[in-house]
Amino acid sequence: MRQHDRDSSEAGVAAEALLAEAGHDRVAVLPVGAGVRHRRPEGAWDGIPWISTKFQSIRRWAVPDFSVEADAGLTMASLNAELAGRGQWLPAGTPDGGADTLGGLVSAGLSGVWAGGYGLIRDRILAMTVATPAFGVVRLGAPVVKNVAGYNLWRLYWATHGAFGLILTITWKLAPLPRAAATLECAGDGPGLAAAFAEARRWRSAANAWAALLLNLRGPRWTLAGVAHGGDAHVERLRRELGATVQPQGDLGAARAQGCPVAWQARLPLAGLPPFLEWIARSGAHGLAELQSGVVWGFRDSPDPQRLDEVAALARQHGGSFRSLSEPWPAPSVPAAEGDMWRRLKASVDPQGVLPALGGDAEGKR
Amino acid sequence: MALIDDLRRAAPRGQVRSEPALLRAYAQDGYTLAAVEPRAVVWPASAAEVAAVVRVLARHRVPLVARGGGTSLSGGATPVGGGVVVHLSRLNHILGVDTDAAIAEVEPGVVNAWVSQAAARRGYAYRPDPSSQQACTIGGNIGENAGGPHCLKYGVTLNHVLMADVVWADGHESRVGSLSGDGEGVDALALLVGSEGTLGLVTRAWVRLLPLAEADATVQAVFDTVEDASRTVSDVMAAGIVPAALEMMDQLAVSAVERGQFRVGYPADLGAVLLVEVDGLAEQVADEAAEVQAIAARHRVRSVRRAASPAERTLWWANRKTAFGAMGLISPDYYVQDGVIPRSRLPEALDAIGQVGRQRDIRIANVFHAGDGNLHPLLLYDGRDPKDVQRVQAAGHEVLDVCLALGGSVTGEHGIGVEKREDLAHQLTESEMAFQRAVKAAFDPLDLLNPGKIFLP
Ligand SMILES: Cc1cc2nc3c(=O)[nH]c(=O)nc-3n(C[C@H](O)[C@H](O)[C@H](O)COP(=O)(O)OP(=O)(O)OC[C@H]3O[C@@H](n4cnc5c(N)ncnc54)[C@H](O)[C@@H]3O)c2cc1C
Repeated sequence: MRQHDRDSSEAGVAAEALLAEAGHDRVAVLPVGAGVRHRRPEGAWDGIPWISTKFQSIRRWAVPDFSVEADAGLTMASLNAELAGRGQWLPAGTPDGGADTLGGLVSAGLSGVWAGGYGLIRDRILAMTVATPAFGVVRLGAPVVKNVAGYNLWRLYWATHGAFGLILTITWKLAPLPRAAATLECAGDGPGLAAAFAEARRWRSAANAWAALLLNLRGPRWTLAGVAHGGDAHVERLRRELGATVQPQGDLGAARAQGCPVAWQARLPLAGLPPFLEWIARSGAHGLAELQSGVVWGFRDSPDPQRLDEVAALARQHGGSFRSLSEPWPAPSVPAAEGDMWRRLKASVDPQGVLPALGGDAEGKR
Repeated sequence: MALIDDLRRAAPRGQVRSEPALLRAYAQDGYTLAAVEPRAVVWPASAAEVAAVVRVLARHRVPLVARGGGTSLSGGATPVGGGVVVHLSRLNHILGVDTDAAIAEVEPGVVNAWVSQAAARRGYAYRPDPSSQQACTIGGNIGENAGGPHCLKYGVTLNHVLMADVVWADGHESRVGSLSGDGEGVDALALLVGSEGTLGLVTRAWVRLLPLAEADATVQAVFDTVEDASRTVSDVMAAGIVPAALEMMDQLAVSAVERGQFRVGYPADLGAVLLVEVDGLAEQVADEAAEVQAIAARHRVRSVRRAASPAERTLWWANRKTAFGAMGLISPDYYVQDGVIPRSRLPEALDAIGQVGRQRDIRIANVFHAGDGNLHPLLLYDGRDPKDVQRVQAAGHEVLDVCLALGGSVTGEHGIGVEKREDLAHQLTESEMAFQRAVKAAFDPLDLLNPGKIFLP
C-alpha cells in the first residue's frame, strides 16, 4: 500500500475540515467557483460554501510530459496565460471567455470551442484530487497519459456539480501551441441554412481536421469560420481552394461572441445537428455551433431567451444533451434503471448527504 | 444439473456446454500464469439471451465472466472466481456504419479490425487499434479500455465509445452514455469502460468514427543505442509534434520479430528502432516527417527514412504489431508486462528494467508505445520450470515498482485482472482502494460479475 500521502496542502486540510464540520452539524456544503455561471443549486441555499477560488496555483507542471496539475480554483484564462510561456496550452474554454475556474468547467460539464479539433476537455483529464466525506482527500487517476488502474473515478466529477466531492486539483494533458494559426471566414443570409451546410461540407472535404469549424447564427445571417492550426502553406492552400477571407489572427474571428455570455450549451450527435440549428436560426436566437463536435451554445443576447425548455426538449429529441448555464443548476439526473446503483454509490461516498444531491430520472435525457 | 437446464432455457437459440475438454480451453486467456476451469460456457445468441442468462446466474448465485476474444493479458477473462463463462462471440454483427453521424453500431463480439475495415471503406477510421486487433473484440476493448499504437494522438477506447446497452449484475438492462458523446447527469458508461466485466455486460455499443487523415507518413529510425532513440522521442514531442503513433522496439525484440512472418530487414546489431507516424493535412505531414528525420539525425541515428509506399508502411506496422507473438520464436514462453511512466523518464525506466532483468537473470525485450510512456517489457522464461515462473513473476512486480517509483501507473492498457491486484494495492492508498471497492459494491453487491478481479479478496 502506498504511504497514505494525504493531500496535506492547505486546500486539502481546509476541505476535510469543512466536510467534517458539515457532517457534524448536518448542513450542506455548496461548492462555488468563480460564479460566472450558475450561482446556486435549485432550491434553497442553506449551507456552508466551499469557495474554490481561494486556491489558484499551478501545483506541478511537467513541461516535457505536457501535463500540468492545477488548483480547481484557477481560471482557464490564467492557466493558459501561464502555459503559453512554454509553448503549451489547454485547448478548452467556452466562446464567451476564460473566466470559468477549472473546477467549475468540470463540475458544470462545459465543452470548449476546440472540441472538434482537440477533443472534449473532459478527455484531457488525467487525474484529480478530490475531498470526499467518506474517503477523505483522495487522488483519482495518475499523472500519465495512459492509465487503466481501476475504475475511472475522476469521471464521477464530470458535470455532477460536486455530488461526489469537492474537486481540489486537476491534472491535464496539454497540447503544444500551434505554430501558426489563421481563421478563414465566409458569410451568408437565410432563409434556411442549406447554403451554410453546403459550404461547411465543402470546407470539411478540403480539410478534415479544423482546429475549430464554427457556424455563428444571428437572425437570418450566418458566418462560417474555420480555424486552421498548422503552417502557412496549408492556410494558403485552404484560402485558395475555399475562396474564403483570411483573418489575420488565428482566433475565432467574427464567430467570437464579443463579450456576450453563454446562456446554454447543447451537444448534438452530428446527424441531429442540422435540424437543431435550422430551428435555432428560425427562432432568431443567437447561437454558435462547432460543426465537427456537435457542440452548440446559445447566448444571452438572443431576442427571446426565455425558451430554454423548448431548446432543451429539441436537443434531447435529436439525441443530444442540454445544459443551462444561466439558471440555478439542476441536480444531476439519474436514469431510473440505474437508480439503486447510483444511490448506493452516493451513500457510500457521502453517507450523511452533505454534498449536493443527485436528481431523479430525467425523461429522455440522453 | 438444474443450473445447466436453466441456462439452456435462458438461451434457447444459443449454446450451453460443460464437457471437461472444452472447459479446459476456457480456463485461461492471454495471461498464462493463472488458470481455473469454469463450470460451463454459454454462448447467448442475442442481448435478450444475455440478460436471461445473467438473471438465471443471479438467481443461482453463480458468478460469471464475460468473454470476448480471450486475449486479455492480465487474466481479465480467466474465471478465477469459478462460475460460468458468458461468451459473446455470437453477438458479432456490425449493425450499422453511419458516416453522416460518424458512428458505428456494433455488437460486443465484433472483432476490432472488422470495425476499422468497415469504416475505412467509407473514408473513416475507428482509432483504438490494439496490436491484437485481428482477434480482440469491441466488448473486450470496452472491458479493458484498450489502447494501441494510434492512441497517442487519438485517445483510448474510453474516448471513442459513445453509448452502450448493458446488462447489470441482476440481469436488468439499460442504455448508458449518449450518441452526442456527452450526456446529462451521471455517466455509468465512463465507469463501465475499463471495468473488466466487473460492473456490467455490454451487449451493444455505438462507437465514434473519425475521418481518415488526408495524408500520413511513417518514419523509421534505426539507432545504435536505446538512449539515442529515447532522446529522439522526447525531442519529437518537445518540438510540438503530436504523432499519430510513436513506437519503439529494442534489439532483442527486433531479433525475434525479424524471424517472424513480416521481416523488414533491420540490421541485427541495432540498439533500437523507432516508428513515428504523423498524419493530418498534406503540407503539415510533409513538414513534420522532415522534422522528425532531422531530430533523429541530431541523436546519431544510423539510418532514417520515410516509408516509400503504402505496402512498405503496412509491412513495418505488421512487423511491429506481431512483436509479442514473435517472442515465441526465441523463448519457450514470454510474459508481457504493461506499465506507464511519464514519457520524460524513459531512459531511466529502461535502465532500471534492464537491471531487474540482470539481477533476476531474465532476458527482457522491450516493445512499446514510447510516445505515451507505455512500456511493454517482455520477460522471456520457460514455463516448464517452476522456479523460472516464480522468478519471472517477481521480476514483473519489480518492473511495476520501477513505474510507480517514477510517478507512473501499474497498467496503461492491459488492466489489473488477476495479475496486478497486489500492484494496484501498491499504487493506491487504502482510502483510494476503498473508493474503488465502493463502486463495485454499488453496482454488483453480490459480487457475481467477474469476481476475483481488480481487488485482492
Ligand atoms: C498479441 C497481443 C497484443 C496485444 N496488444 C494490445 C495493445 O496494443 N493494446 C491493448 O490495449 N491491449 C492489447 N492486448 C490485450 C488485449 O488484446 C486487450 O485487452 C483486448 O481489449 C481484450 O479483448 P478481448 O475481446 O480479447 O477480451 P477478453 O480477453 O475476452 O476480455 C477482456 C475483459 O473484458 C471483459 N469483457 C469482454 N467482453 C465484455 C463485454 N461484452 N462486456 C463487458 N465486459 C466484457 C472480460 O470479462 C475481461 O475482463 C494484446 C493482447 C495480445 C494477446
